[in-house]
Amino acid sequence: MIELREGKRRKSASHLYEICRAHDVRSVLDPFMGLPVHLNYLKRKGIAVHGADPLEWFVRVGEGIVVNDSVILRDFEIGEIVEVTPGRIYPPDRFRAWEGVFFTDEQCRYLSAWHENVKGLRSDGQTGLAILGLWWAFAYWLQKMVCPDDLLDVAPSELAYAYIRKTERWVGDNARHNTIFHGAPLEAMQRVAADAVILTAPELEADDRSDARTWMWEAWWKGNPYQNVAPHIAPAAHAADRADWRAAFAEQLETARKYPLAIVPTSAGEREHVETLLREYRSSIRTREFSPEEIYVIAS
Amino acid sequence: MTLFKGSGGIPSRSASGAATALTHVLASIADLAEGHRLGHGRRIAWLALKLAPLCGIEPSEFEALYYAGLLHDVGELWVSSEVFHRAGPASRSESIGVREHPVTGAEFLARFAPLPAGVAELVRWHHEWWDGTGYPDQLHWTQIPPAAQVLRLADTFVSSLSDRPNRRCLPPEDAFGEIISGAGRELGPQFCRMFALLFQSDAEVAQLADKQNDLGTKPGVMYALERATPDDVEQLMLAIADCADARHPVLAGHSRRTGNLAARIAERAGWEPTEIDRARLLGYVHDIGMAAIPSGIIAKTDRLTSLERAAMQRHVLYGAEILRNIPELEEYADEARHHHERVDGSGYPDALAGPAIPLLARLVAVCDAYDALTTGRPYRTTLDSDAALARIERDAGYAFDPTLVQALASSLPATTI
Repeated sequence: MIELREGKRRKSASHLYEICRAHDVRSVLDPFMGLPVHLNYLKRKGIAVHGADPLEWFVRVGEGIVVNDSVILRDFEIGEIVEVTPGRIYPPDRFRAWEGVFFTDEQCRYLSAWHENVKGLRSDGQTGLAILGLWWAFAYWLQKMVCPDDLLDVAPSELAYAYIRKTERWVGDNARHNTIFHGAPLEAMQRVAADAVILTAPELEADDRSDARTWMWEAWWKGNPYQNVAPHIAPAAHAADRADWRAAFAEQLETARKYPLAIVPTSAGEREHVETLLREYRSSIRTREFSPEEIYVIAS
Repeated sequence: MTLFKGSGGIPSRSASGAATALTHVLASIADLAEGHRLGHGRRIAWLALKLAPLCGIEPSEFEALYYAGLLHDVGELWVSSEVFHRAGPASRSESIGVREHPVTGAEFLARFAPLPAGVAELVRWHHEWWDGTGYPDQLHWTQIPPAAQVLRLADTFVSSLSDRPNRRCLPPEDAFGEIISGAGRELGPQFCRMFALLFQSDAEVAQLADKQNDLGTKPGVMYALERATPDDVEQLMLAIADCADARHPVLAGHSRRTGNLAARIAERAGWEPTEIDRARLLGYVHDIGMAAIPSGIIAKTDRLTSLERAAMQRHVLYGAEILRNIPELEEYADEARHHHERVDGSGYPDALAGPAIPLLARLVAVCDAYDALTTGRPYRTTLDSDAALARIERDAGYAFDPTLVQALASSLPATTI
C-alpha cells in the first residue's frame, strides 16, 4: 500500500507574495521549486520568476505554467491526449508493474496511452499543461485506492479531460522573462540573478517525508515504472544527521550570498536551527510566522 | 439600555456586544456582495460548527471557524459584482478578481484584533481544493488545515442550496450529491463521509436553506468577541463604512464623510452626546445595502433605466433588513430605510413626508447629498462646497428639512471632513 505523506512545511503562494511585496522584490528564484504552482502565482502578480528542480516532470510543468505565456490546449487537442486512439499501437506492458499494486488493468492501459500521447506533443507549453492535468487525475486514482468508497468512479478519459481543461486558467503573460531550469539547485543559483531566492533547508533523513506520488509521476514521465529517483534528488535537499544538515545548508547559503534577500520557509521545529545558521551568513534576520507549519525566515 | 462608554451609538452593555453586532453587520454585507440572501454566512457558520466535532476539529478552533464562516466572502466586496448578477461564465479579468477574494478578505480581517486567531487564515484558504486545483495557494491534501476544508464543504453545500441572480438553487438531495461527487477533488474524502453521516442523521441540515435568524442563538453557536475594546468598536464601524462604499471607487470614503458630517452638525446643534454618536453611526451604515447593487449600475454614466433605478433604490431596503436582523442595531433599521425620503413626500421607498421621516434619516439625507455633490458621481461632475450648498438650499422644503439645511450651512465653514 502506498503511503500518501505530506511535507511538514507549508509554502503558500499568497504569503510568499506578501513577503515579496513588503521587500519590493521584482524577481525571484526558487531553486528547489517542486510543483511550481507558487511561481505561477507570483508570475501572475507581475514578478519575474525563475525555478529549478532535478525532477524532470516538475520542470516540464514549469514550462507549461511559468515559461509559457499564451499556449493552451484546445478541446480537440485534449481529446487526443486523453483518449486511447483507435488503431494506434501502445506498448501494452509499459506500466504493467503497477497493476494490482497501485492501479487497475484499465488504469495502467490509460497511463501507457497518456504517456505516449503526451510524448507526441510538440509544444513545451502544451506538454507541461498536459502533464499537470494528468498528474491530478493520477493523484485522484491513488487517493481512490486509499479510500475506494469515498470517491466516485469517473471514466479515465473524462477525469483527465476535466483536469487538463482546468490548466487553461493557469496560463498568462506577465510581460517579464520567466525561466525554468532542469538541474541541481546550486547550479541554478550560480546561473540566475534575482532580487530574492527561496531556499529550502535540507530534510533530515529520519524526518524524510518525500511524497511517493512525486517520484511515481517522474517514473511515469520517464516511461519506466522501476525508475529510481535517488540519483536525481539533490544532495542539498537531504541530510543524514544534523552535522550533515549543517554542511548542506551552509553550502546553499554560501552560494546564495549574491542574492539581496533570502527567504527560507520552515516550521516551528526547525526554525531555531535555520536562524542560527542564517546568522552566520546574513546580517539581518526577520521572521514571519503564519502557523507552526508555515514560518518564513527572511534574511538580507 | 445602558450604554458603555465609547459605544459609538450602539445600545450594548459592553464593547464585546457592540463588536459582535458590528461583525454580524459585516457578515451581512458580505452575503449581499456575492448575490446571496441574507444569512448565507450564518448558515455556513452553523453547518461548519455541526461538522467540526465530527471531523476532529479541536474545540479551541470552533470560534475561529464560526467567524470565518460568517465573514468568508468579505473579500467579494472588492470584486466587480457584475459576475454574480448575470448568467454565463466569468471573463478572464473577472475570474482573476474572484480568485483574489480570499486573499483580499484575509488581509482585511487580519486588521481586527478582537477576532479569534486563525480567522484570516481560514478565510484565505476557504477556496482551496483537496486535489490542489483551488485558489489562491493551490494547497492540496493535508496541506489544507482541516478547519478550512470543513469551511469549504459547508460553503459548497449552502451555496448549492441558495438561489443567486445567476444560478438556480438545488434541492437538498442534489446539493448533497454535489458534496459526494466532489470527494477527492474539491473536498477531502473523510470530511465528505462525515457530512454524509450528518446529512442522514440531522434533518435540520437539509432544511438549512430556510433558516436565518434562528441559527445565531443556539447554545454553543454564538460566540461573543470577548476581547473587544472601544477602539475595536470604532475600527469596526469605520470598516463597515468602507465596506458599504467598496462597490465602486467613486464611493470611497462616502459613508465615513457622511457620518462625520452628521456628527458635526449634531454637535453644532447641541444634541446629546448619545444622539451625536447615533448620527455618526447612521452615517456610517446608511448605505450598507449598496453591497447588493451591481457595480455596473453604480458606475453607469448614462441615465438609469426604470429597472436599474428600481434596483438602485432597493439598497435602502437591503440596508434596513440587515440592521433589523441584528438586535443591537435594530433601532437604526427605519432610519436607514428612510434616508432617501424627501420632506415633500416624493422620495422612496415609502414616500413619507415631513416629520413622518425620522429625524436622523433627514439629517443623513442632507449630509449624504452634500457629500455626493462635492465628490462627484460617474454621471455628473463635482461641485465645490458653495455650489453644493446652494443646490441643497434650493431643495430645502422639497427634498430636505430646512432646519437641517440651515444647520449644515452653519457647520460647514468650520468643518474639516
